[in-house]
Amino acid sequence: MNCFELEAIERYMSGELKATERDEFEGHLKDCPACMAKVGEATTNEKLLTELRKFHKESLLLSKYSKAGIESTDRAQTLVGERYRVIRKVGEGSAGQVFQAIDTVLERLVAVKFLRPRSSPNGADAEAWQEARLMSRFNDPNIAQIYEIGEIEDQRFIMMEWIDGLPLTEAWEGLPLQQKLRIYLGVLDGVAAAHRRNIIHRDLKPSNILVTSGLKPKVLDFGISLETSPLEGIEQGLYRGTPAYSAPEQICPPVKIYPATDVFALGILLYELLTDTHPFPQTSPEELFESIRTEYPELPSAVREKTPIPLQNICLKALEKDPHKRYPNAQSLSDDIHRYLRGEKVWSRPSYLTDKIHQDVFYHRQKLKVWHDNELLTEKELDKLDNIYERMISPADLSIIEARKLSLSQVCLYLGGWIVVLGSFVLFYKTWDHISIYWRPVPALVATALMGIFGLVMWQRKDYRLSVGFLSTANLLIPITILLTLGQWKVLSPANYPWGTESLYTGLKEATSHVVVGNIQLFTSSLCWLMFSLALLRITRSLIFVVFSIIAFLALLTTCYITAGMEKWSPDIIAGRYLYPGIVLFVAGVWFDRHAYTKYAWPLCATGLALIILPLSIIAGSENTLFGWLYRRPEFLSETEHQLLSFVCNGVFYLSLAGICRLMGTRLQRVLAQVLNWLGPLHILAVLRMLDNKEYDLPEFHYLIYRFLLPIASIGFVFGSVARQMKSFFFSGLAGIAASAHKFTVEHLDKFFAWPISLIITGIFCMFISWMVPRWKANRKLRRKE
Amino acid sequence: MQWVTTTQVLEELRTSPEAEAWHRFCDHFRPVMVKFAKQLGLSATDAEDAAQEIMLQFFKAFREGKYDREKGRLSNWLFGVAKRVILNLRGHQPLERLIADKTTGTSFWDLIQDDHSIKQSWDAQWRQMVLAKCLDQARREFNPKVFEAFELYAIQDKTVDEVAQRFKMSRNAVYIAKSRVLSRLRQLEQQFE
Repeated sequence: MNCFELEAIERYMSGELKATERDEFEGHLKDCPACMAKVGEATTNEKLLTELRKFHKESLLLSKYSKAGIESTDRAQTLVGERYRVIRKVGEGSAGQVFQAIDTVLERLVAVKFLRPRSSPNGADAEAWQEARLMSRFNDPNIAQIYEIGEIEDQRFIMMEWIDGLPLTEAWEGLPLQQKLRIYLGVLDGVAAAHRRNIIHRDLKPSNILVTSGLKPKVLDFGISLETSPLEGIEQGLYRGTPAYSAPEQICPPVKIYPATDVFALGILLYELLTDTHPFPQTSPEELFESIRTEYPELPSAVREKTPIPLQNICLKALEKDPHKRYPNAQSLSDDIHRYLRGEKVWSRPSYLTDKIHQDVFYHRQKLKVWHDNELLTEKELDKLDNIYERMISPADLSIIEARKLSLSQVCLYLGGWIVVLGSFVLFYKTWDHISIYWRPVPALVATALMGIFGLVMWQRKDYRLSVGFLSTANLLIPITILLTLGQWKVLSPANYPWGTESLYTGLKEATSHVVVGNIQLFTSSLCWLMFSLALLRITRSLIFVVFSIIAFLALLTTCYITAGMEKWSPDIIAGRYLYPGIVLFVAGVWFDRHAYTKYAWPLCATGLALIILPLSIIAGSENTLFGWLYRRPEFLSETEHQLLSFVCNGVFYLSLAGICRLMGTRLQRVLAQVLNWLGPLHILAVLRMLDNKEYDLPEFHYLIYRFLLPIASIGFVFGSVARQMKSFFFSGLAGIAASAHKFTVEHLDKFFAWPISLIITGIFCMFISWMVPRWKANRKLRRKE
Repeated sequence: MQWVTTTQVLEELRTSPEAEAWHRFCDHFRPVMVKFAKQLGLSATDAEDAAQEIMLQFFKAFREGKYDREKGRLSNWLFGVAKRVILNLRGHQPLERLIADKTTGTSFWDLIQDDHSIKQSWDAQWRQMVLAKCLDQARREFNPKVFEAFELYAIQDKTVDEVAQRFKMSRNAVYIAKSRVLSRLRQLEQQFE
């Protein structure tokens, strides 16, 4: 009988032989010592083999032939060298293994992360390595610092800060919302710092964010997250990241990564913060990817009733499918949350909600057309409704709307600013014999510097609303402060520069009676004002500084004109010269507008209107009877009574003009009507100011009442305008307050030197209140929510 | 590196006073000692020193004839020396114990507390070294194709057909490769112990 082949012995040993074959084989073994010996040897070999296999599996013996990575502290120790002593292995993920080690030189704990060997070198790998190198160069309190990166024996490792902490979601379990938000904002700060350096994390998830015992979050694995291995089932090389925290653009080809990719993961974290559930609860990767790509998560407020709606909107905006609709980076997300915490309007409008509005509006507008066709709606009604819908679906940027909206704190802000300006102005036209002339401009200079610095700091901190308030105040203070300084310190004084001293200088001297300001000084201050306005315009690009720049430019032009001696400052001359051209221009503008030359009509109408309003107001305001034909003073009226009547006539005239403009119905005319409407409340206050004059033949107590009419009405206008957002009343009220302050100063506080300073201090206090109140309110609201 | 059996190394050490014998002995056993010392918490430099010390002590005892190969395995005897030297050295080094204690309390120190586990650790190290050396030697001795066929089939659990196809050899040749390499490995192993 022939001996069996080795194959038969192998199969016999592994139990693969069938019953008949086995019997045959065993029968042969009894008779064949050679085969018996072979089996015996195979059995002994098998023991050794088991051992070898065991070592292979542990990747110890054959580690250098396999791609399994570092599995033992020994191997890690040999790789990192003498300086570090590896203590233990702390974790293992798809990206590699992490060990805890001691830096024996600096005596601190470090974490060493060994990355899995590269499957294929490609651009993305190199990019990630480059980013890790960048990350190691900067230090942010919210990012785990990278101390060192290196490559030894084809094994890349990263040495980083050792953090004793809990993963994010575990750490904030059971904490109140406010504390959770604080931790979350820390995470945002860290990610934002990286985004500023164009570094994208790509794999943000709770386990990559550790929270220390002081509730300080630390983001791990920055810039190295590209190293994660591709997920099975998805085309190789396309997917990198953690499925549950991936953005749509990360999982559908062509894969493109933006800072907004991190924003999506941060949005998921925010959703978990608000609701304690994941927005996409599917478990299998395929379902998960499908819902990340196509589905909108359930509204957080539906999951948890008490979710604040602004936070819900922020969260939904961060979870937009289109990366361009999300917050562009972590910083803008953080800004919006800060805005919420300050109790301000949140800017985000998730497209999920706006899409819905658009759809509804579309149907409504179609219905309107049908109604109109059936003559249920007139043309005018249709236009009106259509306009409203139009505005609903294409709203102006919310930040602008918010800045334009009057709120109590905003009123405080602008009122405070205005009072500071008034205080400085009083400083300008009052004598101050109590202090040496060198110290006189100091309060105004200090106030200007304070406003400017505060404004710029707020702008840096993206608190635009407050910043614009402070900067506008500084902008108004600049010309006053410079005039005051030049006047008091006698720089460029008219004694040395007598050009055109008879014109504006004379006028100002009459008005202020004490301060001597020359035209050259006026010119200097207007020039500085213009430059400052332009600088602010450049920094802020805000509309208000466009307006300031134009005013400053006009002031400069006027002073140039007057300094050159080409014009004499005299009310009747200004009135006489400009009223007629004003009327002509205005009429021409209206004619152009009606004949569809709207382009030319705008400047004509605007200039015409300005040239009408200016002389008319001067005529009414000046005590002389000018223009005999226009407002002739009858014998039975005193001068004051005539002035009062002139203001009433002016007001009525403007309001009638506004009515006519509105009737004409073109867009230009509507705007003109709005401008004219602003003059209404201003004239009411002017009339009240006129009433407070002792020249009337009235009992004494009437004057007592008239005296308080103006200040009370002004303050009423300012604060009353908040409820109905009537800005014309707000700004007229500010003007009224100024007029009252002026009168008060002239009559009672002529020599009371602390008066302007107390005004400045009151103003600054008002502004401070406007800054504190919203914060305090927001905090209280948040506490109540919890 | 030339293959020498442990018997040869010890014999040389006993008879030849030359430095070469000492070096060969060091090359042979040093890595495993260093590794073991590091695992017990010594730094790389300290571990090198410890290994040197262990071998010197062993050498002294060996020259004095205290070690008898018949009585016990070399591995066990070296372990005794190594443990004494390392624990002695470790006594002067509080740093890592301090830091390790401060952290989570699951450091390496908690894992290796008693002699039993230290011995196990040593045995594992020793065995690893032996197997690694034997595999290295076998790799050198065999035709690369044969050795790789053995590695794939016997250790990495590939099927016979797969391996046969890959190296274009018959199924039986794969079995033969396995049997031959394993037998040789056993011989080498015995020489080493």
